[in-house]
Amino acid sequence: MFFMASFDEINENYSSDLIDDLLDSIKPEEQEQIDYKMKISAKIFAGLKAKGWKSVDLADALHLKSPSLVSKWLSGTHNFTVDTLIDIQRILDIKLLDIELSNEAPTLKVNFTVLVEPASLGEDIYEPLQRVIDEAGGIQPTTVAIVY
Amino acid sequence: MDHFIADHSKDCFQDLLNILGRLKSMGNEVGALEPYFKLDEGLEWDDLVCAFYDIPDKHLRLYCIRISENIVIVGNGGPKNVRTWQEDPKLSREVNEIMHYSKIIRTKLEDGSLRISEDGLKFEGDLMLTR
Repeated sequence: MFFMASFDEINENYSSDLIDDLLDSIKPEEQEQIDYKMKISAKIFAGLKAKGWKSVDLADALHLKSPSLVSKWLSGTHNFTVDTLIDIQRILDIKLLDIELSNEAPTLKVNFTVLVEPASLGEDIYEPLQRVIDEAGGIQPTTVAIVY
Repeated sequence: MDHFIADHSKDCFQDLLNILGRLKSMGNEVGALEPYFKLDEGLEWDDLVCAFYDIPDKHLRLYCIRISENIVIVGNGGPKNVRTWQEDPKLSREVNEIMHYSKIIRTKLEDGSLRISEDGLKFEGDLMLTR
């Protein structure tokens, strides 16, 4: 028989050298792999819940022989193939893979038309520009592209 | 948990690291989601006794009481090389023990002598376990 004291007394800062030593043995890159597997499973689980599905429904949708494979996917231990992730994200309408090539904001291109009056420009470009205009047979609308 | 580590640190070191890594991930990142466990490992339908999902082909079982997504009581376990834990004396002992503690905890939660804190992260109150 043994007794434990009040949880409030002992629970706050329980620590174990044994556990701490083992945790220190896990390399950061290994922990990152574990975290990713757990998060992928969590995301798939959330995707199932959002559709009101159980494991068997996903197994059916993917024509799997057994829902036990889905249980394995959800366990946080599975090393997924890209093909499997693509199938799952398509069926559940979730995003598991980010394949964007760049993180930069997409370029917005705006085209608009202005009339350029040669007389309003500086002396330096007035003559050459007027010559181009004359050769073209008079003033024409000019397209200016501004890229933000 | 300490017993579990001490008992298997030599023969199942990598498995232990993986289990601890997943426990850390649950604690820091994702919570103790249901599919991370094999549920209904205990003999009573509502005893909350489950097994931490073992790595495929490894079969190192760690039995737990999953109170919620935020509270899991980790017990002991061992390699499971039989179809059911009842066929292995060591696993039977561990599961029976954790079922025993589950009973005490659930009883205390019901009578109010043990409570889950407002933030849902820990127990409050007196917990006396009798073996």
